[in-house]
Parts: sequence; C-alpha cells; structure tokens
Amino acid sequence: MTFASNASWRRTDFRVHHADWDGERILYHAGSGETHFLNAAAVVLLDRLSESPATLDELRTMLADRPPAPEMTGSPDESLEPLLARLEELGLITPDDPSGGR
Amino acid sequence: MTVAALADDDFARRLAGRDGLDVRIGPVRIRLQTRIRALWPLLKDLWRDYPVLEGSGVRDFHARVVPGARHRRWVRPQVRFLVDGRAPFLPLTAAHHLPLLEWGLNWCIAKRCHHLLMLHAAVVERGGRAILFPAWPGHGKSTLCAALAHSGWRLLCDEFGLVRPADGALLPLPRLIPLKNQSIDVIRSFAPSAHIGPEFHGTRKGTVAHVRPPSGSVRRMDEPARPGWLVFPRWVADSPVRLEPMVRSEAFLMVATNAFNYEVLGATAFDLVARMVDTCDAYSLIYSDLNEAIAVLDDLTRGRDG
Repeated sequence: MTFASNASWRRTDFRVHHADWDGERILYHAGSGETHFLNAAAVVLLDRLSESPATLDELRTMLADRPPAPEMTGSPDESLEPLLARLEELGLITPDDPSGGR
Repeated sequence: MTVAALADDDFARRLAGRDGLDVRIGPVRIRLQTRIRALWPLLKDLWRDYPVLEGSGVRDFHARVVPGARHRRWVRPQVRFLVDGRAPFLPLTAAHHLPLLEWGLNWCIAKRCHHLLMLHAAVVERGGRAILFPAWPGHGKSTLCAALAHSGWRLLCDEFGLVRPADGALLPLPRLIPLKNQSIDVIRSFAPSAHIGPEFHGTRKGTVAHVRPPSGSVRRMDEPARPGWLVFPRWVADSPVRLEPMVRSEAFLMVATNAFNYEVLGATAFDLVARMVDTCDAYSLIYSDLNEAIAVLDDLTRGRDG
C-alpha cells in the first residue's frame, strides 16, 4: 500500500469514549459499537489528527521528531501507512480530501 | 418471610400451584412453578434463606420445570425448563432437574437483566470492598469463590458481577455455587461447614453439586459493594501460587470480552468497565492450593479493607 505524500486525513466525527493507561488507549466507537485497543503509536496519530487534518508527509515528520514507538516495527515510514489504513478501516479517521493524492 | 419459614406442605403447594412460588435473589425476582416432586425438598433446603415474595408485583421471569414429552414419561424420562412458556434448551434426563433449573435461571438472568452490566465473574467482599474474579469456564473461579465464601469473605455471586450503572456498585446475587467433578471433594475437604447438595452424575459438565450460599451472604444481599480488585484466576495443577500485576488495558479487554452484555449496553458498559479498571488494581492469579491462594489474597487486600 502506498499513499501519495500529500494524502491527508482527519478524525471522523463519531463520538468516542476512551480510557488511557500507560500511553495505550482503549476506545469505544459509538458509530460502530466496537471497542478498540490502540497502541502508543496509534494514540499519537489519532491525537494529532484530532487537532487538525494532516498529510502523510506531516505525519511522517511528526513521528520522526518523536522517540520511536516500540510497537512500530521496521522504519516509521513502513509502519505509518498500514497504521493509517487500519485506523481508516476502523472508522476512526477519514481521508480529508478523498480526491487528493490517491 | 423466607423459604425456610414456610411449612413443607405450604412450600410444596406454592411450587405446584398455578401461581408458583415467588422468591427474590438480590435484584432478581423469580416466579417458579414445578410439580417435579424431587425438586421440592432440594429447593427447600438449598434456597432456604431466600425471601418469599407475597402479593402481586413485577417478576423478572416466570420459570417452570416440567416433565418431558408424554412419550418419554416412562422410558428414559426427561425434564424441561420453560421461561415465560418457552423452552430455551433441549430437555435433560429427569434426574438432572436441579442443574437444569440453575442453568436455566442463569440463562434468564444473562438474557434479561440488561438494566445492569453483567460481568462473567465471581465476586466476594470484605470490609465493603470486593474482589472480582473474571474467568473463563474451567479456570477454578467457582472453587475459589466457594472457598473464600467460607473463609471470612461475603459471597456476592459465583457467576455474575452485577454492576449498577448509576454508581458502579456491585450488587449481590447470592445464587447456589455449582461445583464440578473434583472441586466437590476439594470444597468438602477445605470447608467442612459448607452445605453441599446432592451430586448429579453424568451431566453435560460431568458431576455437579451445589453449594448453598452462606446465610449471612443472603441476609446481606441488599448491601452493594465497591469494586476493589480485579483478579483473573487460573487453576494449574501442582503450580505454586503466583499473583502478578496486570496491565490495565489488558484487564479492561479481559473484563469486557468476558461480560454477558457489554455489547448490549455499549458506551455505558465501556464507561463502567473503564471506571472499574481505573479504580481497581488488576492481577493474574495462578494457583493449585486453595490455602495458598487465599493467603495471597488476604495479603493483597489487607490494609485496604474498609
């Protein structure tokens, strides 16, 4: 899977409930009725996208500036895109510009 | 008035009568009707401390235990459990009337009491704070619960951790504790004062016998408790006792996936479990010896009781 560097995402508008422990998060998605476990890397991404939409490049830069999350196997570049795809699949984030960069 | 206060003939007349016997177990009100005579003395004995409800009022379900189909009356007779006139299970051999009734009532509670979050957990309390033991079948939850209920802990329930949404309090539901196979002798030996009913052999879970809830636990079944600890037990033959802290996110997932109605209650259930995990320390407990297990639980909870 490869996203264009200008592909961007934002948080979905669904109401969520969450509890955070030790950098990890358990999240209830009111839209799907499902409960998800998010590791530290996913929490960082989701929190960033909650602030404002961001492009793949921006997210990559943000992660590069942080200590590597232990859950991210391989390079941040390799782990970021599958993680974004998974968050999108779960309905937690959505493309900010569906026509852009894909 | 309790079941014990009813004369035997009055008790039998109510059970066999059209209106049945109304009893309350914690927050659950049951109307039971049965003409299976073999059940009468067992229920009089094992249910003796439950309050009998008089007059009209809301009953959570109407349960009946009835003979099987007419053609099975004489050859390999069977017994059926009905709730509100419907049979949720296949009939069992007639001799398994009490296990069928108890399983049936559990089924009714799990299917009907959605005004409460129902965790699949044993719960005991001391000093107002409770230990919850969420566990999968076969992990030794009932045996440990029965042992603790006869070691100075108050039994809330062996099967259901009932959480009140309004405040997260745990509500007692002091039902009979079903012991299976070797656990029966383990508890007979560990707690000679435990009152254990007859053994039922060859059930789908092997040999089953029921421990009567201690009278004190039934008398105090309107006293809720605060969650204090989450302990995930697992019985492992010959293992030394091991109590190890658990990561809270893992505890959350184990509690939630083990609940009877987490999906039904949705966000309410999430918030209740999150609050419980926030306020309770969580541990895994591996044990083979009840005395050792109870000793580490006493150590764990000492100083935080009350």
